[in-house]
Amino acid sequence: MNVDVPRRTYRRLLRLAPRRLRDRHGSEMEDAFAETWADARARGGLATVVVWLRSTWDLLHARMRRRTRPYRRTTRFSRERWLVPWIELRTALRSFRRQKVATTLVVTMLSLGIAANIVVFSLVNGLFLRPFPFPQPDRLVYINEKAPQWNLDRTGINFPDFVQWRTAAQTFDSMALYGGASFNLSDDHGAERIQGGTVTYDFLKVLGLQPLRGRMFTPEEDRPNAARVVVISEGTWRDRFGADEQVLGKTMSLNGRTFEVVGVFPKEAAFPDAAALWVPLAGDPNQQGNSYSFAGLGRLKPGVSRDQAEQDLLRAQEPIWTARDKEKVVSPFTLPLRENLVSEFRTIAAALWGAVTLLLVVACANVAAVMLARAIARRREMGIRLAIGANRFRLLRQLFVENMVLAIVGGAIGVALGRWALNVLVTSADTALPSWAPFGFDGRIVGFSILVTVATSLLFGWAPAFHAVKGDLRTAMGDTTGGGGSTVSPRGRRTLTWLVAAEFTLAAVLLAGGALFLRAFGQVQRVDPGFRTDHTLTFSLSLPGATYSDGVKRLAFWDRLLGRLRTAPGIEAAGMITCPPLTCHWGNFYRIEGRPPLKPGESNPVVLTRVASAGYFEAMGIRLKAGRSFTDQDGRAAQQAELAAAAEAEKRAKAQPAGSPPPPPAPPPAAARSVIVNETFAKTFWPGVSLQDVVGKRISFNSDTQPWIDVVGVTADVKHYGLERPMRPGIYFPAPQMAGRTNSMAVVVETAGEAEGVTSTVRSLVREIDPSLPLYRVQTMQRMLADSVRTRATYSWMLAVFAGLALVLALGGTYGVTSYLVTQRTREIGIRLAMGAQSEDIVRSVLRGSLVAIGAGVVVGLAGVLALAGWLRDILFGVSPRDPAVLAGAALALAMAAVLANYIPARRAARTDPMGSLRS
Amino acid sequence: MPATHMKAHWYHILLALSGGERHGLAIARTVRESSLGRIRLWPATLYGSLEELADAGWIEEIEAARRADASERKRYYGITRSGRVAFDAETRRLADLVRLARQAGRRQHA
Repeated sequence: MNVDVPRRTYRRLLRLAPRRLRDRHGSEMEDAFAETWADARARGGLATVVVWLRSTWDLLHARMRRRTRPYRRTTRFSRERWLVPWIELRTALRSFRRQKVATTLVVTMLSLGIAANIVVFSLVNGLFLRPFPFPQPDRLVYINEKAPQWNLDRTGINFPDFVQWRTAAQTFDSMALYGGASFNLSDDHGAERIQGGTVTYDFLKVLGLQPLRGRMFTPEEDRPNAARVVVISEGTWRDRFGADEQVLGKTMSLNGRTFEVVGVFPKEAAFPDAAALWVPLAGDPNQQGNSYSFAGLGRLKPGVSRDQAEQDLLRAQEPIWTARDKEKVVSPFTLPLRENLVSEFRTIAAALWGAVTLLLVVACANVAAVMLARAIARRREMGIRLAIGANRFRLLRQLFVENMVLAIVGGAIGVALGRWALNVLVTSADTALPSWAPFGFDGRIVGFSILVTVATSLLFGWAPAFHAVKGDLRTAMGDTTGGGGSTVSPRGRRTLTWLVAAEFTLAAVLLAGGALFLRAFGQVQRVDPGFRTDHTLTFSLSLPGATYSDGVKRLAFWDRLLGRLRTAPGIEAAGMITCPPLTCHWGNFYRIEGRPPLKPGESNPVVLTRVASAGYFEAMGIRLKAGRSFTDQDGRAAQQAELAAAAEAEKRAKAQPAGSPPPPPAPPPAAARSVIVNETFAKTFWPGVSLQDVVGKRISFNSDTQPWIDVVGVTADVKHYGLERPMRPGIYFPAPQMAGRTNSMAVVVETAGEAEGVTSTVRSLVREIDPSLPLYRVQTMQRMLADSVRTRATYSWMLAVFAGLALVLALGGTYGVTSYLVTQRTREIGIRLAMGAQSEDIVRSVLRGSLVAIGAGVVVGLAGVLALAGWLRDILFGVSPRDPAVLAGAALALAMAAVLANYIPARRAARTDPMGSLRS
Repeated sequence: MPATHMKAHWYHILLALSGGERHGLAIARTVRESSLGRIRLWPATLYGSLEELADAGWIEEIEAARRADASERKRYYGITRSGRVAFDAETRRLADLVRLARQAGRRQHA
């Protein structure tokens, strides 16, 4: 390497050196460096790096040394002096080195406050502030339908309704539907269950995105029974196909059928969340009956407001209402897209941000108190400096530089700490946070960190600067009574005490808030889920239509599987259900025997409908409150009768001459049909009737030709929608009676030992019966329950951590301030002790000063929590913020902590040696 | 025995110069050799110390010693009388310390 390059670089580096040194010895220094560098180059790469580093340090060091001991021949105002405050920097570093404990304390407090702020800001940024990755995202709306009379704020969209809107609505540029779907994907390695979706052909057009590869579906493909095409997600393309450029045209086997890959979606097209592939929605505009199952997205025309669009949809819905929904039970609605995705987080995010801002203010108040104490100690020094002509500006600059150094160091550590904490949080919160929200570090966060750092530096810098510069000489000098530092002016002492009181106010708010949230979380966890949580394992299986084409084949499989499971070692009971708790929802409406038909506008709550096998309630640990559970016989008679009737109808159809109209469908044959209802159903539809008497009542599907079904049992409610959400009326049908719905079931087993232990047994059993079936969603009910409260757990613990931090900070602050004030009063205390005061008097006097202010602060803080009561009520799950136990507990904890923190310096004061203090 | 000590860098520079006049680079080389490689004077420290020693009056720039064959830009330094005095004082102080240490060591083993 040309030896000139390092020399030239060093010449540029020389600008760091003091000017005089550079002018007089510049070339010699270059020669010296060149020699050293050549020497190092011979020794290897690491040595050269060391040479550069040490040379730089050498120059900086010389500069700092030089600036405080100017040469005899130096010029008075060199140009560089006021651009970079070298003297102030050196003085600041020196004073930090002398007071290591105080400095560490300050930096720690600042970095904790800043780190916490960064974590919460990242969360808020990811959820609310980061723009959506779609072109003109403010024109995107979420569309769905609601039916308040059915107690459903979202029903899902009925495909024919969507077709109608598409034709009639005028304010939309484009509209699309999407839905969730799961598939059995089988390839050479075996079978697995994949989460995917269905979309209409203009889905990407609405979002304004282009496929990464290939194309989107054509309108022809988006029809029932059209070509079998599939689009894969970017993630699937990379993981499964290795980002193969030739992926188009490859086939995938989904649910036993072959699909051709025609395109790759970009990762922003994540509707539904975490879908790995999509097939055409293939809706049938002429479908019989109403099936509400999709969600919709729409892109508004430019300049159209969301209200206008919603009115437009309602207008487009009119013909549907006229034709089949005269009471207007179901109506479409729109939401801003982001609103739909984050509304559940809004209150929590706001609460967290409020909490973390309080924490930062506490941290700053702490630092301000510590800095103020130090500044007051230096009042004498400042007074003298001012007296002998020091520039006030220089003094302020000194303090400013000190603050900035502390803030920068605290900020840097806080940023690093915040990044780490954010990673930990995002990894552990996992499914609780939406997958489309990016929580990485970006420019906004860096900018925010800098802003917070500067703001905190200013915030905690004002107090000491104010006091230092305002001090005039006489009071500064007059306060010194013969040595031992200056005593604190009453104003200084007051400011310090009120700073500490303010800290305790904020700590009280956080502590009470954190306690309330933890209590609410405890309440949620104590809710009885209605089923057994331990020793219960569940897994799902989906029977492909190709091999299990009718109810007989399906029931045969399930009967065989359940039978084998019941005799397997380690398994006490087994059963199956369409929708286990905390998973899907399928709703329907029922008629009650003996009830008059519903009047228009009268509410008809939707009923959660499930199909269960015999043994399900035992396996799940669901209590029976009246009547009996399903037996193997329930529903068999109905199944037989229906099979017979179907065979009859087929024979009759074959006997018909060709061309004549098909015979009308025969009514379902009479046979015993049973159903089990839950307690809410019984209380909703037979209010005032005892549960025993509900057994034997009859219900039917919502049509005149449907047969009556006997209620044979009433079970306790299961918290199907989560521990926090209310349960609706629910019913269970026996599996044989509803064989048509048994293609995808969740099997539940009660285990003798640990639930996970039987997983391998279960897998091998299924493999024995049908090796092509993948098991999916294998988990214990305990885990499912824990997952369902994960969001609440996460933010409750975050608040608790913040509260703990605030308490620690407040304690540190009051301890520091009191210790400091006591030191300043040494002489006074010495005199009092010499005059006969008892140590208890001293302790009391010290404590009284601080505890009164702290007490006032805590009272104000708790009053603040009461004021926020109304706003927090809904997320506190029934725990009232006016709960006296929590408030009293928080007050007590703070009071005890404050007394403890103040007691130590107070005792130290009482042990002052009177003679020593007088002499000093 | 003087109470305060002289900075190690200064001592070594004076030591190097007590053998004769030298320019900056040569001083650095001598110091490195005499301290067996442990003290490496980096450029700013070296020339900064030389300036300080000059200010203190313990070394002086030698105009006449610029050799004809050496390039113009090298400055030569030599030790002054007061420098020599200070150097000798420090040497004596260090020698006293070594003597005391050896005596204490002998007393230990005795």
